[in-house]
Amino acid sequence: MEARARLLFGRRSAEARMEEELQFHLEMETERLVREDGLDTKEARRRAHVMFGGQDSYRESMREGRGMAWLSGLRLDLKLGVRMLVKYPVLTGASVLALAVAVALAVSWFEFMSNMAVPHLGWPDEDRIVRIQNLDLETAGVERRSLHDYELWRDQVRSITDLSAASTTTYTLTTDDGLNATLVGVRVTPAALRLFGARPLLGRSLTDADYEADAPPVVMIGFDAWHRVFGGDRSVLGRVVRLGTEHVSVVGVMPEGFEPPMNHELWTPLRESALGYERRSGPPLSVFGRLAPGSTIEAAQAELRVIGERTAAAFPETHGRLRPEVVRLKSANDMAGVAMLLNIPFLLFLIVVSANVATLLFARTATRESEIAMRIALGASRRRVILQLIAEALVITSLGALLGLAFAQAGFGRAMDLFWEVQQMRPPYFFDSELSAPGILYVVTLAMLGAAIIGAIPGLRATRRQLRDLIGQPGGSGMKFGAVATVVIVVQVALSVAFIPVAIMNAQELLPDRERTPFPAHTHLTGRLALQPGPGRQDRADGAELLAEVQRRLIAQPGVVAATRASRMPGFNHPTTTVEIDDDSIRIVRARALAIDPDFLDAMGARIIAGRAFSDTDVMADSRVAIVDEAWARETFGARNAVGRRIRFPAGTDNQQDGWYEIVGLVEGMSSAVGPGSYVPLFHPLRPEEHEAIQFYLRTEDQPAAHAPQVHALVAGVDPDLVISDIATLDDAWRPVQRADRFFAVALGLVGLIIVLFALMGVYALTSFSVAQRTREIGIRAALGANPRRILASIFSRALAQIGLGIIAGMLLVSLTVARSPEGLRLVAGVAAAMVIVGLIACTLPALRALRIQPTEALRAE
Amino acid sequence: MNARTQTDALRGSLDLLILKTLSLEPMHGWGISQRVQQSSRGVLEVNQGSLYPALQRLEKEGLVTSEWGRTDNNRRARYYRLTARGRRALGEELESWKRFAAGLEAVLRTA
Repeated sequence: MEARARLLFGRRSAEARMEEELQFHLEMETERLVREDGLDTKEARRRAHVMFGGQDSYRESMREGRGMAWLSGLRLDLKLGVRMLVKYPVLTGASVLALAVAVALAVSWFEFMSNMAVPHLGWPDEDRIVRIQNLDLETAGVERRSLHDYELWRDQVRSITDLSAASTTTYTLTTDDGLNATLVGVRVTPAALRLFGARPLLGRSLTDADYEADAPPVVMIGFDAWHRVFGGDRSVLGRVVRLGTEHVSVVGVMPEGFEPPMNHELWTPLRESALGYERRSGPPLSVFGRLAPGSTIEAAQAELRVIGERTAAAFPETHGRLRPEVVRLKSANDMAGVAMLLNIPFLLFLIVVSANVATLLFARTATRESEIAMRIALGASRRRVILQLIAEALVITSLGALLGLAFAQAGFGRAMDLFWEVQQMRPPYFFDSELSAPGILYVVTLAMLGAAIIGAIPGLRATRRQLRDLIGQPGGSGMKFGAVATVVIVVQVALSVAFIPVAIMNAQELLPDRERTPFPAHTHLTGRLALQPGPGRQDRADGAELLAEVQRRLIAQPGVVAATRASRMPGFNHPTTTVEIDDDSIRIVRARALAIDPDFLDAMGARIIAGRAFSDTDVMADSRVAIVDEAWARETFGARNAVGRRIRFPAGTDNQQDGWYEIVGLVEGMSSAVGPGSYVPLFHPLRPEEHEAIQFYLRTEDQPAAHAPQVHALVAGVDPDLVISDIATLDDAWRPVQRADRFFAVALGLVGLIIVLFALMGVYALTSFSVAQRTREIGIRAALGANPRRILASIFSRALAQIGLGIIAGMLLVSLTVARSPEGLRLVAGVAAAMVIVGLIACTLPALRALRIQPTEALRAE
Repeated sequence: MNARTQTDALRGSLDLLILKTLSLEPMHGWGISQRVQQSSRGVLEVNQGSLYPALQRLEKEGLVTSEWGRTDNNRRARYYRLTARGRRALGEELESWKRFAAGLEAVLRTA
């Protein structure tokens, strides 16, 4: 076994040994001949060589003995592969480009998914970190107000150590020299910092003493915040700053990149005790821990189930339907498995592209079939020939993979930046937008897979035929090319007719709409306003009043023309909700809804064209009214009047509201005011107490950006717990969405273009090839006096029948979707026409050539 | 015996000759070819080009093992040595060869 391994793996040394033994043998033999037969050295050496026999065949059989023969064969195959590719540059270029795009998409998605599903957190022993959460059996949601449960778990659970709780809060940090900054911080229990593996860059971490009731309040700050707010000043330790209303001293600075649990920049003690709260109340918590040595997640789950059932029995009112659940943090959102499944569409795209390349190569392989049959007849094994075709394909897919990696390297980071911007989120601190080693390995696998598909399909077909068939059957295609070509052309045309219009329409939707009336976005200032109770304080009931006060003061500002509010910034990551429509029978549709102030429509320059606008009394909780976009109403209710009809947001949806909403008005011109991105057709009155944050809009007479500092000061003046974020002119705020739309439109367009290019090339290659196959037949018919016009007619009618069949199949595919709109129908017709034209051109050249040749030549044609 | 029949007869028995030769002492490839020729008094001549592939095959099967050594006049050479398994295999091969040879002789005598 060892000897075998040595022979196999020590390839280089085996080669060297082989040569050295050969030389030794020849020298010994030469010396013997000189010694015993008295020959001169030169003649002796010649004789020794002759007696040894063919040295190349010696080397071959030595290599074969080592199982290495395929290696030198592969090298030759690759060389042949490169040569073939250079010979067909257009085919090669198109194939490589298409494969590159498919690979780039696949690897980008793979990287995104692995980053999210199996993040590298950088916590010690992170594979054993678990999260405990209380599952609400009724709503299937998670109850995070679990201070009582946290204390119980901390004291009773044995299978999890370092059990800790964390509560996220956004703070306004104010320095003694009056500098303001909005920072996302987290209040944590003592064990949490052990869990995160916190080692301060400067100063100290939180200690148990910081949790004493009378201990002075302290905070640790993150590296970025330290630079942003304090300019990286090392004397920051011991400085007293204000967090909301509380004065705290800075005791530590954390190193760069340390932002657990999720992009946090401030760490301060969570001192609350369950004594101060009812069950199921208090701050929302995340509870983490590390599996104790020797313990398993199953054991922890079992232990918690017992505790959970005991709690449920003891406090049926609050905990009757809560069940604690333990999940590994690294797969906390069950994404690991799903993530891998989500790679499948991209794999399928790659397979489709590979199959397309295979189709193109198939036509080429068919022209080489005599060569292949000859090689098989001369003793090449079928395996050997297929391996050669796969090796050729490997050259193409490797080039595609390399280019794809380059695309991904350049595009993935940009796409991710846009993605997070549109999500209005900072990427998780552990998110890495560089390509990873597993990602590159994945690409290598994809290249192999592609090569297997591209090489094996034509290879298997081409080698099925034996030489005797080739000799026995005069002329024509031995690969039954006609039937295969028909199927491939039909499928190719059908897919193009079906999907290219979809891609074009999607891309158009994403591109900026030039017909839309331009909205004067540069005259508006927008931002988010939220109420964040400071550390150690109860939730406040006066939030709505504070927000109303801000609103009053904003309008009173000089230079402000109008101030209005909405529940969120439309266009960004805006989910659709389920809407029930009370129309004869009850129908369910999906649409986006926005809660707005009564004066929002007016302030944004929209017009009520039927019914009425919202009034101040509509804001009262018991008044349920809605205004809908006029275009949406037309689509949903047809010619009937929408005003007076009712809609409802059913329970269990993210926008859950009770009762029916009566449509009181139709609005026109909101889509431009809502901005780029998603279409929002439903509006209902904003009740500030129902939202965690409010988006405010100011229209100003002059430069809106100049009002930003005043807004900051004004908001801070109303209440220190009010936090303002993402303040920008509407122009700037919309830009990321516009950029993302453009980016995805370009990406989609690129994919569409490649499909079009491929479809056209495929149809051309297959049609012209199948006509070329009939050269002999055409030549003989022409020689026998057939009318050239009739010959041409027969050629064209076959090609047109193939393409026509494809067009019909494709239209059937989309008859229920795209083809229903007039624009879609136009696109489908356009693509179909392009296919027909390309098909005709593809027929013409080889048909004319066939008609021109002499009968004797035709007879020779293979 | 002309050259052709000689090679044919040898082809099946090359392994046996190598094993037998190595059972006396470890030897390099050239040495093996010389020894076979000498001990058969020049009747058998090992095809040198096929000797080494055979040695490689035997090594792969674990019947012989090899290592670098020095010849008498201080040249580096690959020395082949019989393993315990090789020695057993030689015994079995010899038995079957003797049976084969006896059978062959019996046939030739009666014919």
